[in-house]
Amino acid sequence: MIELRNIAKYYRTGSVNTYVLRRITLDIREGEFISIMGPSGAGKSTLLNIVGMLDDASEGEYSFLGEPVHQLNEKKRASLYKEHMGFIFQSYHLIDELTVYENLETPLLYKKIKGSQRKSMVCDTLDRFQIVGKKDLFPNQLSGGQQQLVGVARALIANPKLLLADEPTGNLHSAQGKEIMDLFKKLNEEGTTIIQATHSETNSAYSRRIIRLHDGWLESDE
Amino acid sequence: MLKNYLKVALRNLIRHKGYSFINVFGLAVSLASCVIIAMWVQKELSFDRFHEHQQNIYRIIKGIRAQEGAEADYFARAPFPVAEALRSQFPEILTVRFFQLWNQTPLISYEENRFYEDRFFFVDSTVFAVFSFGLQEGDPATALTRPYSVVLTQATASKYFGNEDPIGKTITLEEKLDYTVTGVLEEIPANSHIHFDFLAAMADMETVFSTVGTPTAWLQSWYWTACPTYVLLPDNVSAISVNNQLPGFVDRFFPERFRGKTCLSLQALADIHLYSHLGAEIEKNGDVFYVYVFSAAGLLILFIACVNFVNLSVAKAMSRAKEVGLRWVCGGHRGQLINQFLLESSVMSSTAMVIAVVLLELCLPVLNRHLLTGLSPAILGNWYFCLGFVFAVFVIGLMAGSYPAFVLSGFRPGTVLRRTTTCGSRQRSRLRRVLIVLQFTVSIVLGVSALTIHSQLDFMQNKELGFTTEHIIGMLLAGTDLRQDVGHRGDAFRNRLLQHADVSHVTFTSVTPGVKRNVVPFDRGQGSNERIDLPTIFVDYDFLETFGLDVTEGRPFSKDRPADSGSSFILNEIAVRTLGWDEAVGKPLRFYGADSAGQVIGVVEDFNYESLHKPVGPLVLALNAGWYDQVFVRMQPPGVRSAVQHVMAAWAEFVPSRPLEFTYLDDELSAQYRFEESVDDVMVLFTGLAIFIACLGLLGLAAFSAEQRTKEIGIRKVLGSSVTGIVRLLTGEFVVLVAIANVIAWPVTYYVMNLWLQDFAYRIELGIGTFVLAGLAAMLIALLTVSYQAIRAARANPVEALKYE
Repeated sequence: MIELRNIAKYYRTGSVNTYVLRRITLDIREGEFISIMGPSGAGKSTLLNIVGMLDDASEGEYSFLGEPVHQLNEKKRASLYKEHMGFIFQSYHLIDELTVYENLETPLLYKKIKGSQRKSMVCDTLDRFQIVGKKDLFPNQLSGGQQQLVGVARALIANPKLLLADEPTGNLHSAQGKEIMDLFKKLNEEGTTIIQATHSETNSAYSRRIIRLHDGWLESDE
Repeated sequence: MLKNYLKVALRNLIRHKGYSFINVFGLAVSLASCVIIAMWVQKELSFDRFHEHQQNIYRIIKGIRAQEGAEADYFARAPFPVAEALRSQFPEILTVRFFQLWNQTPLISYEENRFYEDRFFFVDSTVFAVFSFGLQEGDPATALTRPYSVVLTQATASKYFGNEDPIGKTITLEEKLDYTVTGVLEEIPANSHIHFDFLAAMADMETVFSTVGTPTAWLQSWYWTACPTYVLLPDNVSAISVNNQLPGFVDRFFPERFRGKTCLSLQALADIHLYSHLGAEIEKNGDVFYVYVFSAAGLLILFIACVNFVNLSVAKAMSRAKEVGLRWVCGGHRGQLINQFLLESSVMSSTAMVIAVVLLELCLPVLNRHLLTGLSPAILGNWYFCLGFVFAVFVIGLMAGSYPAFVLSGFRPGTVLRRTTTCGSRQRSRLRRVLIVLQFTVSIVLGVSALTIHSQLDFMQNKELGFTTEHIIGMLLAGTDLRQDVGHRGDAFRNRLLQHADVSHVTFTSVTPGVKRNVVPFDRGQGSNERIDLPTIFVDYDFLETFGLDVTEGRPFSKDRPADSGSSFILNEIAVRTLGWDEAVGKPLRFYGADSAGQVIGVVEDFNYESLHKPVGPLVLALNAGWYDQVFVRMQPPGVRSAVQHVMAAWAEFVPSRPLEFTYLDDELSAQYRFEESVDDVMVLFTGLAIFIACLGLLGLAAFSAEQRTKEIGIRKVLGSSVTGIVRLLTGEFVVLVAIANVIAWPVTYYVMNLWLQDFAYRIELGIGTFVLAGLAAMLIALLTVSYQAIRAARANPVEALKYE
């Protein structure tokens, strides 16, 4: 599903390149549940962003479902992303100006799904995550756990093949975190490929493959 | 999708109330200003275009040369006989002459209603065939064909006849000649270069002239520029060919002594209002210069508002960057994001448009009354204009929105979602700085211009004219026996006036000094054939004393020397130089071709006998009772009020049949600058608006910059910086920007204002003071605006600022 070849990412500071990722080569098949681990600054988020096409690699090749992502234009990439991926952030990242309902609706709007179908999909999702009562609230009226629930719901609403999660439980207390991880497990069993970046050994225990990064280098893959 | 965008747009507008207000309100004010300016410009450009044949109508202007081959002085009128002669040479053309009684406002009466009418014109009956002035009642083909018929406007009709039907009524001119009303004129459009209340048939003018005491021989004069004369050319006759034949025409018809010194020319009707500033214009015309100036001001104000728009949107960009990233994460691609931002700025600009229309509705009546008269809201009913306006607003929305749209949508989501600091902000803030500098440059240019115009006006209003203008009232003598018999009745009137203790001087003159002068041909006495046309005022013995003028050489006119009347002259110093004399007193001078000899008896100091638009030229003062048209009374405080009462009583006693109309000399003098005054008002208004809008933008940016630097401020305070230190930190940048704006604005303004000042013979020097004043004012206003935010930020508790992160 995902093939990374010699992916590197650096930022130019002055005349020096500061590397965040170095020569990452990685294959991920459909249906995997992977944790990316490593200390702060190891490049976990960056790798996740590159896989999620939120960021471009500085060097290397990346193919997703056989498409050479590093060669695609922005529009193609956006549509590839929108068809197959969902993204969850540590700090939830909901659109502040939109209500819960509208936040969930947005990906469907971009997928140009018709009104009635859209409505039923949003309602199903609200139901599934038991947040029907919150649908008209704005993100800042919700607790962190509730916001993350909406964030997850939003990522999943369009049934993505690949779910990318960047420290999804980082800002949550453990009970909430467990809930989310249980959900991930269930999703993975239903066939969704999941890649999560995490610090927590507890969380990584849910996954079947752990990739460790250190200072941008791929340290181990088990 | 659209609904979703709109929802976000509105919620954003409401959430950032301050920014939205600045953007929307600033844009609304500038749009309203632009529409007002557009109306004004449209009005100025539309002058005389309402005549059906406007493209074929020309005015005959007459040029007079001092010598053959010299530069001609053009007048907007032509002598009486020109029209008829033109028809005989060019049988295919139509001509119309207008004629206003020479230097008097005729008294018109109907039963008990008697008024002096300054918009009473005699006119040829072809007027309705040439011009498209309409008649509400009456037949344009015949209304003015019969002698002693008159048409008047509806308002004038009600003034005289109330609700009665005016047709067939008889009004009386100067209490002697009866005119029958044969029609009612439609309202004369504001955008006409000529306005009248009455049009009387131009027939039997001999009788009219002898009734008002003008020599009938003048009707045949080929010299007197009496009548605004218009011609209507048929489609197959070109103005150029007629123009080319005019020199031949002059040679053929004008008496020999005028040939070579006279030239005629055609002036297109449509050019009159904006381009014609000749002698003897009917009304003060506009000036295309102001059309440019105001158009520029309008665009500049719009520019300032657009800059606010761009600046604030870009400044806000970082808070929106997260949303951009998130929308990408939700599957939106760049095009959709661009659309969203453009839609958002269109929402803002159309909100501004709605507010602008409301503002217009509110302001227009007030403006119309005070500043810019004759603006018609009709333009808002014009489909083309409205479509254009909406389109323009749309384009402004797109343009102003496009920068943030393209910049924001170009962010990579990974970057904006992860980092809290601004990426590439240095480049964007450079653009912001450039825009602020431009904004303030514009404000300063407008500010210095307004100040310059204002001080030039002030200068003109207060300049020493070289003669006394205070506590002097003037009355017109036309139609009274005081004028016809100055020797006895005039003297008696004078003596009656002087009985009051506070009436110090009384003098008769031909014209109002400081406003007008006559031009009279002179020669250097026996044996000299050289004709010298010199500006002249016919005066009376007390003229010099009344106006506080001193004789520097020779002596003033004296009652004890009968010879002074008609053959003695007092010259101003420039006239002495013009005539090439070192010592003027005793030199021969006489009216051109007069029988008797004459001589110069004195020299008077120069004074501004015309408006300050013109430099002082040569002037001759001559005693000649036959020319008196006005009487001036100088009074002394504190008894001015009772003296005026005395004058009124004396008038009622001497001229019981005619109501008294008098004016204060200083009012009449300042009335000459009314046009500049209204320009001044308008400039001050729009400059104020421009600076206001620029400051709104600055306020927003200052707030933003304080917000953005909250953390830095917090850290600095923790490290021990004082409130003043932080205020200085936050304001310093803006001070530098305004200073740069000054440097750019000054030379530009200097150039433009020097150009404007060239119109005035007496003008202020463009001192550094004005520039410094405007620059400092801009700086001060900017500082005040910015420091409000800076102080707020500096006084905030640093713990609050550092809590996040």
